Amino acid sequence: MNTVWDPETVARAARIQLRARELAWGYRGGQHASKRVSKGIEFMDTKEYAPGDPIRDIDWRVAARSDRLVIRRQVAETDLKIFLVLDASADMNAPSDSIADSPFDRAVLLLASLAILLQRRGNAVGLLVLGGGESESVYLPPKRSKTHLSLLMTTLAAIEPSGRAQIADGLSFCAQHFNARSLCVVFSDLMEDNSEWPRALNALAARHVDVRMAHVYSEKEFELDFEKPIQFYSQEGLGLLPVDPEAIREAFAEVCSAYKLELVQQFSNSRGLYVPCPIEYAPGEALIRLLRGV
Amino acid sequence: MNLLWLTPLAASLMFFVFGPLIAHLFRQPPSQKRHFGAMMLLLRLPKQLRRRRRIQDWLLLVLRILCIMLFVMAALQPVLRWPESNTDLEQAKRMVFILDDSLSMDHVVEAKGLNLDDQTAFTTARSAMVEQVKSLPEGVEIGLVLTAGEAKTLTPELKSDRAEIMTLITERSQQFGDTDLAGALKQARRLLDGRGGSIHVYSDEAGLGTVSACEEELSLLASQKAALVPHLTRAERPQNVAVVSAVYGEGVEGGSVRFELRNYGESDREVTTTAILPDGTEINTFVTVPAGGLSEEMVTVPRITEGGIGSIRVDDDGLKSDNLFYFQLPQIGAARVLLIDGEPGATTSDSEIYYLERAISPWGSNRGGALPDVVGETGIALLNRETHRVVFMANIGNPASLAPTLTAFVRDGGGLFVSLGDNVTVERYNSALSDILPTQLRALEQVSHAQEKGKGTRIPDVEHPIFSPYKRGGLSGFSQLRFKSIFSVEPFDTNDRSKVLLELDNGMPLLIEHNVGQGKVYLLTSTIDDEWGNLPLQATFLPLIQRSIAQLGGASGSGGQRIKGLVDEPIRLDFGGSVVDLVVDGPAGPVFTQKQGNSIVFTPAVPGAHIVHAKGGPPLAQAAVNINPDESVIERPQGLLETAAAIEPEAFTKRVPLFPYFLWLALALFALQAWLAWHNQEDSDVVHA
Repeated sequence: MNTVWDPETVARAARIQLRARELAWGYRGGQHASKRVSKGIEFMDTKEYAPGDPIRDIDWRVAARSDRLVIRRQVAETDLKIFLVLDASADMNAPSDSIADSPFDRAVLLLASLAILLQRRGNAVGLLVLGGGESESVYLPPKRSKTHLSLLMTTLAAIEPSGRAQIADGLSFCAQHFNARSLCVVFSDLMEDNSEWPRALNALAARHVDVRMAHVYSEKEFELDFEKPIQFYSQEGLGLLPVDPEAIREAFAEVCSAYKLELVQQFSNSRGLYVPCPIEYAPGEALIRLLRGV
Repeated sequence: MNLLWLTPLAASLMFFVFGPLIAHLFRQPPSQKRHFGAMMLLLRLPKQLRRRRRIQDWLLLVLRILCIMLFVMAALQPVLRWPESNTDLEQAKRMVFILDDSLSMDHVVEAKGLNLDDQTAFTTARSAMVEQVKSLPEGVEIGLVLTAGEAKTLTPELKSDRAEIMTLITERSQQFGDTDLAGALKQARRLLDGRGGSIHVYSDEAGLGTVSACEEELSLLASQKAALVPHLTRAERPQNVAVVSAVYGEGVEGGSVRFELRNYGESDREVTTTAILPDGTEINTFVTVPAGGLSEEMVTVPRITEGGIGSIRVDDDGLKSDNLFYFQLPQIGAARVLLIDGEPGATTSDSEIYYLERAISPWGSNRGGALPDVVGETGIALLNRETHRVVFMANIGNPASLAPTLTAFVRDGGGLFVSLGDNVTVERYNSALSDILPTQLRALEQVSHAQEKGKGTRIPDVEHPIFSPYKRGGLSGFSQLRFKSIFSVEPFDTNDRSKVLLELDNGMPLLIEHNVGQGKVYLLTSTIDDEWGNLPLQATFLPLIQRSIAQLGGASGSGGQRIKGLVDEPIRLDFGGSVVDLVVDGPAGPVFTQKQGNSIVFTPAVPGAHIVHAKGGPPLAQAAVNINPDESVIERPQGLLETAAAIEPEAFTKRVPLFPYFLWLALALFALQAWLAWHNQEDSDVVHA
């Protein structure tokens, strides 16, 4: 990771900020949506009751009129603490042929845009960087000031993806440090063993932390859109793998679909939100979903 | 055209073609590397699946395999060879043209339409030959040989006069004979006289043994340094349906004619066939003949049919010359004979004609011969010229009422047999039948006493057709005849018109033949029963009556010998007596005959009925002549030049070594694959970079 005073880092921070502001400009008047329920707060929508939902939120009038149990969901202008978690593992920097952005670049852009939008509305925004070559994760506690936002941008610009993210550890860290009125948005390629995630996600859910997982990946990679045999390698110590893309394309597509389905299942079980963010698509839609939490 | 490999062992090198295949399957890891973010998911694939490979660079692989194959094929030293006769300049100066004018050359090469003659193989060959002769330079010596029937040379020696040769060729017409190609080659070789030259054969080379029969001649041609240049002239897919046999056999109605059709073409055909009986009756049938197969068909013959030579015609435009097949048809059904009985008896055996009726039809009417219609004097009204050929008048008392009808009947070609008896009155006969009797009756005379045996008989002319069959035996039977009473007649001149066939020992005429108009009258001066003699009781009676009926025209269709023959094959006929006056009439007119003792020999040139007869006389023999069935075969089982090449490969085979072509092609492919491999590598490097 470069120092925040490095001229190159400063310039890069400026570019990140510029692009993030452009992206955020379109959503300036938008409301930050929270699934946090609070008394006397404006009604948002309803949803079917699911085990684990608070009983007091059940709309008994609807239940009386029908056989269905429905939860009233409400939103409110709130000053949440926002924790933005960035996966800076080495494979996040895998290049993409079709567009300029790597998954890491896209994650940084989304994160920065979100930070700007939330900060403008007076929310305290913090940053947790997983991986990035540092022995300890970079952590900026949530603050509302503009200087904090600048620091956050500069910090983002200084990050060089490397090493492994250890997402499970990062989520556990969040579960320990975040309080109940907070929102945690994670930007990651989710290319790690996910067997340990449910425990951390459940801990966050128990603390009523609203977790939103932005899965940043390359569609081209998932479709294995390469013609000739090629040697793939990972910078996270997974070695070198010669493959014939055309020969295994179908099988690999099935593996990818199964993995995405597994992630959706995993996050919905923990009342989290899984938002796929393929880098080949414009980031706007993903940003809306992350903001509104739907 | 075939391929010869001079070093076949080099084929083992073909094993190397697996080299590129193996190399492409087990190639080095791909040179291109790429940072891949979803490696974790890639590792979730089963290991075997991850290692799955396809053959890469198909084009390169194919090029490399082809390249190696071509190198190996070059090492095999292939030689392309095909039958061909090279004509050098010297051989081109002396040429013999063989024109196949056999029947099979009549097959249609190009149909011209309704109003134009079709182009046949013969006309095509003739035109092409004329064109070639026309294009020859001055000074070329030319000979001309034909193949039909027995090969013959039209030019006793080679000639330089092209115009004469062209005229000879143009004047030739299609023949009906078979193909004597071997004979033609022999004639051509003789014309070349062992001094080299070229033989141009314009033929369809059709027929099962046509070419194979030439093997010896082809070998001799090679030894005499003569070039052979076949000009194959035939339709691409010739068609021909021909009748290959037709035989009459017994059956319902008047029997049946069974005939076989063979389809020599390559596709099934449905054809119309017509059976044409000797009396002109036509019976049509439709027959489907499978390709290369045989179909049998049958037509039923009417109950009463004239004998003679019939034919089966098939409507086939492929080869018209063999559309007719001729066959022998016997007289079918009874040739009716009207018996006018002048003295019917109280019982059958008392009748005047008791013996006569049985002699005329000894087996009834089912087995041919004549069928008698017995009537009284008033029954003359039943005489029908269409059905009755002969009238027997037995012991009629007053012939006056019959005379006009009988006279007209005889003059129109009918036969009349008059036998006398005690009812006969000389004056009535002489006045009523004077126009048709050979002479006047004089009186009834008793030539022998009642106790005596009676007068014997003798035959003045044993050569007469009635008696000629008995020449070698049986004549003695006539000496057993005895007569006690006969009518004497006025003397008459014996000539072509009237002659005595049988007389008593004392010289009194017993049986007189008399030609009247187109018909004939036999006068028996005695009775036909056993009252005045023993004629009906003798063994000679039945054949005498049968022969008499035949002579009177009652079985004209079945008279004479019946034989079969083929075009261009000599037919020999043996006759008991002199053959000096015999002539042979064929479909195209009189046929040249050679007379050898009691035999005549003739060679028919065209198919059809050939009738042997004495001038003005009835047929003595009928020959149903057909074309040689081998000429209907339009298939070409082997080619002339191919056969020559098989016998004398050195003389009749062209060879082209393919080694340099394969080698250069292999080198070119090698260069191409090298460039392609380099190009691919360069692309790969660019991607990697």
